[in-house]
Amino acid sequence: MINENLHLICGKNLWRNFHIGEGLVPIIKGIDFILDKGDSISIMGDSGSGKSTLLNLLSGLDCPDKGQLFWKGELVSNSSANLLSRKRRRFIGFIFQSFHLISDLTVFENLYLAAKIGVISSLDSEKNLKIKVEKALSLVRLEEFSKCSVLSLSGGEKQRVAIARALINDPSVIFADEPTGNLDDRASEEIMQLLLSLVTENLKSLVLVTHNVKFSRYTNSVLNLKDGIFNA
Amino acid sequence: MLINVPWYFYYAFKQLFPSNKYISYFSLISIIGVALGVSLLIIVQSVMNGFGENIRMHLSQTYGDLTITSEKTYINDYSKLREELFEYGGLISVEPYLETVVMAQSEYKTAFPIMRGLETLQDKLYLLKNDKHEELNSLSSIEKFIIRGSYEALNNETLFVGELLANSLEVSVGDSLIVYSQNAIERIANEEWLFPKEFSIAGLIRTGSPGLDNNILISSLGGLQELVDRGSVISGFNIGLNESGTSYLLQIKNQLESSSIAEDKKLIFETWMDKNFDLLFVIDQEKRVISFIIIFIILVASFSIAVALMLSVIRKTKEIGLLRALGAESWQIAFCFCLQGFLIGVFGCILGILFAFLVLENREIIFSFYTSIIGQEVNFLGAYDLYSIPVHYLIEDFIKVILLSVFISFSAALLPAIRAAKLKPSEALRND
Ligand SMILES: Nc1ncnc2c1ncn2[C@@H]1O[C@H](COP(=O)(O)OP(=O)(O)O)[C@@H](O)[C@H]1O
Ligand SMILES: [Mg+2]
Repeated sequence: MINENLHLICGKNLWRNFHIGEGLVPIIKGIDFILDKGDSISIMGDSGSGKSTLLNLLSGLDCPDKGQLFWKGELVSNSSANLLSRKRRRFIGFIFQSFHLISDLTVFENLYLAAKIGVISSLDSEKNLKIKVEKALSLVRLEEFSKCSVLSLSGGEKQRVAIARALINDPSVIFADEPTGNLDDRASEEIMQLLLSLVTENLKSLVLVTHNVKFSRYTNSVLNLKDGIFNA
Repeated sequence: MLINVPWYFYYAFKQLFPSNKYISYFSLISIIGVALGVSLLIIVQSVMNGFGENIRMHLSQTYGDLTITSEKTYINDYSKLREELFEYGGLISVEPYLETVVMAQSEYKTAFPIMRGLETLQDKLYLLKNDKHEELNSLSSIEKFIIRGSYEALNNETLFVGELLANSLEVSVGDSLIVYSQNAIERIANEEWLFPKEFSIAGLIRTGSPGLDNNILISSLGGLQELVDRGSVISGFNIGLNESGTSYLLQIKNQLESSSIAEDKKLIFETWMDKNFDLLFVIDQEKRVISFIIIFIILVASFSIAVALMLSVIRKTKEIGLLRALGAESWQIAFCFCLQGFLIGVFGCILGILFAFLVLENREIIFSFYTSIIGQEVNFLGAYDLYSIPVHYLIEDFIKVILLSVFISFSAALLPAIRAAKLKPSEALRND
């Protein structure tokens, strides 16, 4: 029996169906998932096997059709989307395959906006926010790019901005969905090393979706998603 | 950004004014649309106000603040009534006048103008000498309209002729006019005879309103009383007030109407606004109708706001998904888009008002440029003494225009905002 109170994230018997074509197709079929503090997990699986869907369920971006989700022991699967949004601000940081940077903003402004959304009390002064941004920029060694438009960056640089953004509000967990999927081998290696070192240094938990077996070995455990469940 | 504003203000602002360009193309078009509507509204309303104000000023100068007439054609023993009016507070001048239609004959032409008898300078001096009302204006209201001759020349044998009437009668200062009263004409029917009276023309007047200048003779009160042959009668009084402003005028009018003075003589009190009700009504209606039509420009602009924001929601679906992942709540997303509509309205207003001022303050240059392009003088100026385009700014017009256009812009953003708020985060992020 899983004791949800002991874990950072705990999913119990998660189900998710989608309307595909005529019928309702189950994509996630009763998955149990546990993530502990400082833990790192790789999720592997064929394209279309439901890895992103599972991440969405675990991060509260999507609701399970059945099952329960606990964050730090608290049941959140019945919470409203807005409540989940508020809780997510300082709990989960995201890194996406396609970066998802805001193209109208500079590097600095992308991070600044994320920091601003993460503000919980008005005690976070403007000065503090700026310090946070500078700190995050230095973590990913992009200080000189601060004023650049994100459109002018290379793929690797973009993903470094995304990593900085994921860390800026000091979340407990990083969700990285194929972070190297759009990068060449050299950049992939560099990004992976940076991500893993930052995660360990800052004592973050990591959920990593990757197709790269080598990268999956960097994490504590590897899960294989197939036909909506984890293969042993 | 120095102040600690919530993120959605920052984001909305950055959407309108992205860092990598000065302004987003879509919002620029929307802002220009609103600015155009606002500036047109302000320009048209201010010019209409200007014309209206000009005409009003003119009318009040020409007709006096308030006139008192009687239900009967003439008022007898008016000096007692005049005393009563004098004792009434708030009046600065009480000028008796007699008015009737006459037939005027010059050497060549005949006309049927209105003849108005006013007190002469002698009458006024007599009054001043024998009376306690020394503080009263000794000058007549007609003085400021005299363009040739002087008021002192008005006596029982002379008259002043409206400039245009003098032209059509082909007379000038020094010529004489034979004047028949209405009475005289009526008596001819009864085969009686009342002699006409000959006046010599002492001067010309110009009020600036063509209708009046074409149709007026000014004589002395005594001279006209003689012609009318009804004894010492008047048609009424022209009243001047010691304070300007329409509300004061209406207050005095109401007080007079309900006072005992009104009762026994069946008096009628008319302000210059009552007399020109039709004209003022038309001016007011015109302004309203034109404004109403121009509001459609703002509505079209609001349509462009709605389209621009809707496109922006579609284009930025992923971005909205990302914001939700970062922790944005749905109402905050909606707020972002409403705020954008609102800001477009505000910036459009500011730009529109600045542009309107620019145009209005340089209207003479623009207008002369316009006339040189179309190659002909424009003739509408000149009537009512308007030799330039008048402008009158009304603060309530500005407030109405601003509120209206900001409200319309804000409403245009509602639909896109609701759509953005309804996006599910996981699906928004998947969107390609
Ligand atoms: N919102 C959705 N609506 C309909 N079908 C979806 C939705 N999200 C995912 N799917 C389907 O679920 C399956 C798994 O998708 P996804 O989780 O993105 O796979 P992966 O990330 O493993 O490549 C796919 O077949 C996809 O088409
Ligand atoms: Mg995926």
